[in-house]
Amino acid sequence: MAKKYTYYPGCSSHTSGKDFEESLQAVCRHLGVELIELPDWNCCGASATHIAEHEVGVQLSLRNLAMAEKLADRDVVTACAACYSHLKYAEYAAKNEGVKSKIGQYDGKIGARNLIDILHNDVGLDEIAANVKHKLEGLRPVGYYGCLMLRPPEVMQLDDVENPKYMEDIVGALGGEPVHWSYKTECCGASLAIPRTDIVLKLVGKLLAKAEEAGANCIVTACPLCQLNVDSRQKQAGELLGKSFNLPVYYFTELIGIAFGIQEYRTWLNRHIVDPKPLIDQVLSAPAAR
Amino acid sequence: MSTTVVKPDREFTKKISEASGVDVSACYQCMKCSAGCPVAEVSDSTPAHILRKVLLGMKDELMQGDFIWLCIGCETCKTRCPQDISTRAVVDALKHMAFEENAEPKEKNVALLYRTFLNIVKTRGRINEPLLMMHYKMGSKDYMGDMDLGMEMIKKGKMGINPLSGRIRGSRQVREIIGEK
Repeated sequence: MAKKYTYYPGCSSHTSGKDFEESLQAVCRHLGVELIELPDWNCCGASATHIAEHEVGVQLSLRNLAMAEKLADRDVVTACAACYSHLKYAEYAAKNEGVKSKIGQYDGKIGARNLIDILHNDVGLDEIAANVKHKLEGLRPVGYYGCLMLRPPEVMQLDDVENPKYMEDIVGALGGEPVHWSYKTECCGASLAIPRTDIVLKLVGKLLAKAEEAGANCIVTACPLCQLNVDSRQKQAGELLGKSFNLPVYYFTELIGIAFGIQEYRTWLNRHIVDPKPLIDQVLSAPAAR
Repeated sequence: MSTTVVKPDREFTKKISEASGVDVSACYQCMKCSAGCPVAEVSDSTPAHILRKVLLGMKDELMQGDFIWLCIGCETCKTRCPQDISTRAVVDALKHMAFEENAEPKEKNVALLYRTFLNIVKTRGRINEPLLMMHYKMGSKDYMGDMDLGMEMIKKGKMGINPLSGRIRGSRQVREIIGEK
């Protein structure tokens, strides 16, 4: 059955989350998952909604849900954890607290879904495994989910809130060796990266140290801000601890694309700060990969 | 050890409870929230302390502290609380009160970032990352901070360079939602 969804890219999709956007579009095309962008979508408000009344954050996303419901009888898919969090909160408020959209009308006929949910459940692990051309043997990532996409569970409705497994399942289907650790959902510091970089460096440093301790050679993530923080602050975080880390931070969609043999993967990887190419070259040249 | 006599401001407690939808008296200080809070170590409070301070109506302490700005809304507290209390919701209500009353924020740059972000979304309907960084730097006077990283991101196409792109047709509707402030 053709999989068609309304797509909500979020504000970072063309800038800091460009590699995520490019890789997810390529992977969805490959799998026959059609993403139709929601016209005139507005920002979910992200962290800034915290200073406004709670209603503001909800209404910003209700506008998007109302437009999506009017557009088609299709769920709205997003890949950004913050956007997903806001959309789900709005959906929850409308369906459970009778909140009405100020702009347009949202009756709860469609809902918001996270891209990883689509790939893991709608497409399924068998289909993903069937499309693998190069097994990612030797790739040992820890799965880093961050905080927003899973909490609180009754609103986010996505995977297990304390010990999620979607990324590990996908990495397994791609032939990689997921490494389990206790820091799957620890916060990276999110937007504090700009005004309080010191806090983010502390949190990111802990994540990197624990990933290394667990035996990982890289990190896989599903949130663009987590990726940005753990990738772009890796060197500084290491300096604070007197260590030198080399843990490339991949998006799960990048790993899927690489395993599928999508050639553009080098474009996505070139956008990272910590060079993610050497590990991939190594993994792809391993005998089992061919 | 000196003693502080707290004169509870019950009106304040009521206001925050209503705004957040949280009954702060339900907290029995089990500290599960505080054990999982990513910023508890670097701030002047823990989630459990925040709830007690709200219950005791300690408005000044809360408004002048840094926790209300450092809380990033990860909701670890609510997820683990046996009473299902969202300290995040309480902190958001406090942030909003501080913002409305123009209280001098302990974490000036955090408040600046949120204000700047919201202003851009209010006028354009979407965030424009280079515009956000420009406004933030002008407000924080930290012009050279992260210059290397910024340049690297621009080179790699991860930071837009057009501060004028991305205004949506429905930007007036978004302004309506956010309100005039």
